[in-house]
Amino acid sequence: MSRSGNVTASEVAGGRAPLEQTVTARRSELDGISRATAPRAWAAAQVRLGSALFELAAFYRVAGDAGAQRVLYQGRSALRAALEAAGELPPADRATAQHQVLADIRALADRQRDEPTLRVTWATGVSALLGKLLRSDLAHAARILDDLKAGAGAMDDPKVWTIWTQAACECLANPVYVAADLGRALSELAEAKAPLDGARSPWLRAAMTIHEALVARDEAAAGALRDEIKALAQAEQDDDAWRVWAETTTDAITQVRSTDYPKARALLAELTARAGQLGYLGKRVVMTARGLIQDREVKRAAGLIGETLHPLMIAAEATETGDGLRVSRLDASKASNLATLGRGIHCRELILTGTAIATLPDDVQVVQRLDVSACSRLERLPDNLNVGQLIARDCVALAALPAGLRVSYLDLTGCTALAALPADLVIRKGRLSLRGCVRLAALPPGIGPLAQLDLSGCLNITAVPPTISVTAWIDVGGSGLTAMPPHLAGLAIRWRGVPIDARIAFRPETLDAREILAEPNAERRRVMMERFGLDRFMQDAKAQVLDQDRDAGGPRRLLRIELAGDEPLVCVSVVCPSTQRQFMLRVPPTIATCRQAIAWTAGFDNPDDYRPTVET
Amino acid sequence: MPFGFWRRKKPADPQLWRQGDVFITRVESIPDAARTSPLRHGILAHGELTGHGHRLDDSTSATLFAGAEREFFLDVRSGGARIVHQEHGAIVLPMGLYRVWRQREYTPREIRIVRD
Repeated sequence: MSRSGNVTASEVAGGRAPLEQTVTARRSELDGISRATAPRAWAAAQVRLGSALFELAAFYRVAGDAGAQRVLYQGRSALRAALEAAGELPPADRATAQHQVLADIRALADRQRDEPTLRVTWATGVSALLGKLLRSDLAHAARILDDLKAGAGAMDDPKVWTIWTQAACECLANPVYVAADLGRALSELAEAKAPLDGARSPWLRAAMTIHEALVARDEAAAGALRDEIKALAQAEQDDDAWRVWAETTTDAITQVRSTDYPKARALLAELTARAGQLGYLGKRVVMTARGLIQDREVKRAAGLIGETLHPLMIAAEATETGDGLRVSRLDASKASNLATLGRGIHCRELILTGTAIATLPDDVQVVQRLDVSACSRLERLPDNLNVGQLIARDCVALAALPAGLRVSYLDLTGCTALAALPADLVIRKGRLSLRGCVRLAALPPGIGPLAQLDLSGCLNITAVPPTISVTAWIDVGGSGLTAMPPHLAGLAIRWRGVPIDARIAFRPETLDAREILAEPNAERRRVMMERFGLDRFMQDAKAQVLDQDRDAGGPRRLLRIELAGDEPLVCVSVVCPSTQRQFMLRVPPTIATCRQAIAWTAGFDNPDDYRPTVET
Repeated sequence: MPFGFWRRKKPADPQLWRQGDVFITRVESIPDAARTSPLRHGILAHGELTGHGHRLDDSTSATLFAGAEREFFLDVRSGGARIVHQEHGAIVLPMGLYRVWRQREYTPREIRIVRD
């Protein structure tokens, strides 16, 4: 005997009429009840009508009757009307009536296992009831969710599981529901992920709410949840998931920054590394998180800022500092006899300019800036020094840098004894200034990437290793470089601070006098002249010396150059007394002497009026 | 001999300071038109290529006014003022009023301020 639902093959032949009669009877019964005056009875009558309609639909389907779908639709409408009516009852009766209607639908669904519409109608009804209860009675909502889950398990219908997932996620997005039982919430979240099937947004909302509750209590569990969100984001390439991951990570930074600063920094690093995946939000999220990390109070709590935040100036006659100083800025630049720095010093800025320091204690901690410029006796810096800026200009006794040095800005201008840079030197995307480090012959291949590289005056540096990248500019003035390193082609070039191009730097012989004189900027004109050579310039331009004498800077010459088809060019060549650089300034062609020319450039037509009392 | 001849003093040379391409001299007064436009930045001249500049070391030590023809005026307070530059020695100005101007050069089309 074949069976379809509760209708057997034998019933197909003779069952149509009784079933249709039952439907008619149920309709008549319903017509006799007023929804307005007896809503509960009306709802019960709708359930009975729905039940009769589903039975008739099942019969029609087995019999191959075309009306099966229409009857099914009517049956579903009757059950929905029953649920709706129960929901409109006064609060005292409502829950009982709703449960009754749902129990009836469930019983019907169990009887007609071949009819998925019944299971979905039941699950949707439960879910709707749950949604209302979430706002009024959370305990009841939790019980209903359990019923829905039990039903989904018993029916084993993917659609019912999906409805449960969505209902569970709705509950889990409610912070009060989550806070009532965090353990339950976590296990429900894990179960709700399995039948996710494309609808990730509700789950992500739930995950965010649970993370918020979890992060304050159990960072390890919160971290596991973040990893789960990240795995989802990676697997599905889901922008929403990446956004939720970023927000939960930012929440975690807020939570741990005052208790576990390194952990907060690690989270920030992770966030920064993933900024690309966050689209237009990435930059903002990273900025916010960085702001959280940089907060002064947080840094103070993490012990990164001395508790005494006042600056301290060391007296001019001091020869040593005390131990254990914790200050914002320690300035010893007036104490030229200072030879010993105390132990345990911790500060943001340490200024030792011009002191007699020969070494720094190994335990000195400087967060931002260490200035040891003009410390002519300084021979050694501590190993593993990690500081934002290290300024060591004119440290003429400094022959080597320490191992493990990490900086963002390193100024070694005038360190003439420095013979090599350590292989493990780390410069974090900042500037390396080696101006005038004449003994240096090579750069370690591992430094950088750099923003700016100043090699001016480094006579013995003839190459930049291809592993060193530079993003902003390179200063090659007077270095041993004879051509732009191929991997830096296109990078801005400077000649002792003056922006120029590769031709002026490396092929000055291709310039000519007219081009040099046409350059409107005096500094660039000076560099062009310097590269071209004054003697060659005079020869090239067939310059006539009108006058020559000396001033505070050195020799001066007034030159006259005949220009075809133009008025003659008269210019005065002078040496700056401060920089010893040679400038050439054009003056009116009527000028006859150097003195007159210089007075004219200063705005005096009468050279007797130009008598500078101070000149630097 | 005219009356009062011996009382006349030879006027002292007006003091002139030079720092690179910037000149500074004492003046009796600052034009009223300039007085109306005090500047807060304390920068007397700025190198467009090098980024170097001639500026007041302490912008509160003097008030800077913009005059016509790209000149400036300085009203230096009682403590004096230091004018500094990255490549030139500092100049110290005592209390008083000053005019500040830039070095010029000739071109057939115009007489222009030296650019660096």
